[in-house]
Amino acid sequence: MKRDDRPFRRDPRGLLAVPASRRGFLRRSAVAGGLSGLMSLALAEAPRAKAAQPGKLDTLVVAVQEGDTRTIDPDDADELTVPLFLRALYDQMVTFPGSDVTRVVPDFATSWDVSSDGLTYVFELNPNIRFSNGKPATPEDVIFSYQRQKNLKGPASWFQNGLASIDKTGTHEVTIKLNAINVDWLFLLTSPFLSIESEAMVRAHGGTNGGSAATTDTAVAWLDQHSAGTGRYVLDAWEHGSQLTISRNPYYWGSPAPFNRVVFRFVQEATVQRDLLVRGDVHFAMNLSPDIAASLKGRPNVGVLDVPSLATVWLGLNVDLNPALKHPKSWEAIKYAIDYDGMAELYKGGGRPIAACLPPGLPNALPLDERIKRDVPRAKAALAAAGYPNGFSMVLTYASAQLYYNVPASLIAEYIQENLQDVGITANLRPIPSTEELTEIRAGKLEAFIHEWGLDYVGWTDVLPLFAPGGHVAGPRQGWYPSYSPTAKKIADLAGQATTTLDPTKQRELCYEAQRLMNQVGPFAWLFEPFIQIGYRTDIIKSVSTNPVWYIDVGTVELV
Amino acid sequence: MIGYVLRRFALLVPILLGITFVTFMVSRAIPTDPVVAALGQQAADHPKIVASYRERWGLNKPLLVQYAVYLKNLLHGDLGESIYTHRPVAEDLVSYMPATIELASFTIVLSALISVPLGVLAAIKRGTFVDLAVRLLTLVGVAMPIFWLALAALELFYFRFGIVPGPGRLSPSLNPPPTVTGLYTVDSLFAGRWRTFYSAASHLILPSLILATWSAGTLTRMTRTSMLLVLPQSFLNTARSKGASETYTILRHAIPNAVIPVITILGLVYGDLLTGVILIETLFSWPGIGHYAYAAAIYADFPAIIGITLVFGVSYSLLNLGVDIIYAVLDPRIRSAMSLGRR
Repeated sequence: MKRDDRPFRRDPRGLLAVPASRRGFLRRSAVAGGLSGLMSLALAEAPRAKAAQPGKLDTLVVAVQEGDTRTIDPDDADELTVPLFLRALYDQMVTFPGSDVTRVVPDFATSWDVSSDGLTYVFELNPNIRFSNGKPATPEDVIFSYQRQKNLKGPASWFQNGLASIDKTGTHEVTIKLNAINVDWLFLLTSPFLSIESEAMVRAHGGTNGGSAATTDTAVAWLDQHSAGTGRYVLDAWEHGSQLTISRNPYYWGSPAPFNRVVFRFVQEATVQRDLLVRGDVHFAMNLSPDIAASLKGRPNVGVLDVPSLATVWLGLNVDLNPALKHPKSWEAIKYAIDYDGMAELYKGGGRPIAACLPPGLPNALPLDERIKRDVPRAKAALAAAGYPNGFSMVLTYASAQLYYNVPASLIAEYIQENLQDVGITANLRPIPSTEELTEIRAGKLEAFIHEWGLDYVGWTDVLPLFAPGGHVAGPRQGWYPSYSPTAKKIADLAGQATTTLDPTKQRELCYEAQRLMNQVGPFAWLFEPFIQIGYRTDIIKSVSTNPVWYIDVGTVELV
Repeated sequence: MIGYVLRRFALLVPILLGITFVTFMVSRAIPTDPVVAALGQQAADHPKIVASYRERWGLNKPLLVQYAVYLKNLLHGDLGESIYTHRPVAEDLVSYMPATIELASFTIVLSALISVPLGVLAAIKRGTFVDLAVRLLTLVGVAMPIFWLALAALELFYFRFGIVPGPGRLSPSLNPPPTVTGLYTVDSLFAGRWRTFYSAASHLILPSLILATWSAGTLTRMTRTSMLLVLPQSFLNTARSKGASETYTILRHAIPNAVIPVITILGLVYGDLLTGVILIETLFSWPGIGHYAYAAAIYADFPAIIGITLVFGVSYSLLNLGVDIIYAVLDPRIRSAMSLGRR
């Protein structure tokens, strides 16, 4: 008899019948076992809030957005998130003392001399520094690193633009000559994109500092999975989209790393980062939104670090595209129509007002009490003076999904629209994708826009000269050149003079004057400086140094 | 049968060519400059760096020349280099695909295990409370926004009750297993690392259950409909008249006949899972192809976008082919038609 035709006893209870046979019993037991196995599997792995063991922690876990991380080769990278990793893996010639970004201290170099003309820097290198392969660091490694970055012609190669020459001038001495004075040169050297890597290790994996490095260097892929530095940690692995793991460098020359291992767990959503932090599955949550950060304050075992980003969020006006926006009085009307203090409702403790283009944490920033405040009568008077007593219309473009350190651009745009409406100016909002917005801003195609200038290095020279008439931002993006007016010419001259003035007092005076004039006649409204808001476990972490470049230095974490 | 399969493979060539052409042209029609997206603020203002970048990625050449170069490289198996990651696109795809395949496969198995019994049950108990409950459940599963459901499930089962692990593929305290297939569950078994296996498997539970609410909803409704079409047919009465029990009749005669259309949907759903789990991958920090696609779109990474589209196209085409072959295996009538070239 064929199996399919075999007579079968009909069971009135059908599929739900209790099995009468041993086989049926086994089959259903297997199903039940499978289900309970699935549940126990989940429960076995389910996270438990970790009890803090004073002073002891083997693995530090940091939740962070992978964001723009494209490579962790210090000579090729130039993205915002990368310094967090690079700082742990590499050293720079000089660095910042803890969270203080107003002065520099030795790192790879123990001391330095600057010539009276400000063009020559002689660095004495620390003879005790060793790379993670145990080999001592030499001046040749510094020269190789800088030349490789320049010749790779990658996004970070602009760091080397001011360099005229770099030479070994002693067993442990390097001399760098600049093309022109750069009063922020030492601050620029703190950037993790100017890390020192081992020439031998990088060369062994296809790296070169030769003129053809852009086409012949093949070490980037290796450096994405290995490090060749002198930092507290060495790179174990970078699993794209998942996590980046580093472990203690046994040859580190300073105080040893506080943990055997650090895991940077890539978590995109701020709410998920919060949940992981609150449950104790991570020790730091790097990308909290102002809402979430505010909700965490006061919660047991969780704290929030507010780190000024030194970034500037501004409303930019192009002086060529909209007839109404050609007149400086129209800019004045817009500037005085905005309620800057009320904007605090948007960033909820995750930001602060700024007086001009330089945020308060940078040297030469205009004091906060000189900032523009809302003055509706003055705004209306300026409108009348511009020939638009009943207001005018403009298109205000912003990146629809953009967060300025987690403050949504859309909220800022709507807020400004309401403010301007009060004086009769109609801002027609135009949300577009961020890459499109960036393309159009850089091409000078937007008549009004909200944007953020994030620092490429900690230095006022990365901001003020760019916003001065004819600078990278003011000129090509907003059409504001020195030829626009005598005052514009004066501002450009002041900014130019400041960048070559070595005397700090004179430098500050020049910067102040330039900023005051820009506030009077510039096509900008300075909105705020956002904070980087970092959540941490207060029951485990006692302290950590923070700054706007590498956010937290995991090598400086102190445990409770 | 073999001839049919070969013909279907040959059809892939014009399909893929069409995909590359459309994707190539559309991606370049959008008003975004990939150099702007890739370079930092200072770098983008240095003409030499910008020029070097354009030259390196061939963006300074006419559009048709760029396309011709791309096709030539594609013929040599080269999908180009990602503007964003600077790695070969093929290498990127190989590193991101396994996470998606693992999640999609786990989900599809889970969906089939849930939906086929539920669909059969609803059909057998048609018009009863059980049927109503199943239909309501599947309606909720299909209608519920998956993003919201994922957030709510994370909040509830991970954050509040702590009965499932948090986002990611593995506990942070564990290193991934040595790569063989890229599927953590499989590779950890190969390596004999049981703790890693448990961790990887348990991390799959919540995201795949959430994905399964949608896919199982669709599959359950399909199974029910298909069963309702099969149940009144006379061959079942023949089986019953021979003395077969109701259970046996359903299991041996009704389900095998009802399941054929379900397999089509299963293939399509699997295709959707492979290509459309971006939100879940983002929420669960799951480093899959959706994650890569999102970054490629944000950074206007043209080579990566075309590579991903090609993978999606190939996945759908191969899944459809696989479904047709399974059809043939299950149904002798279709097998015979394929052999005669009548399809």
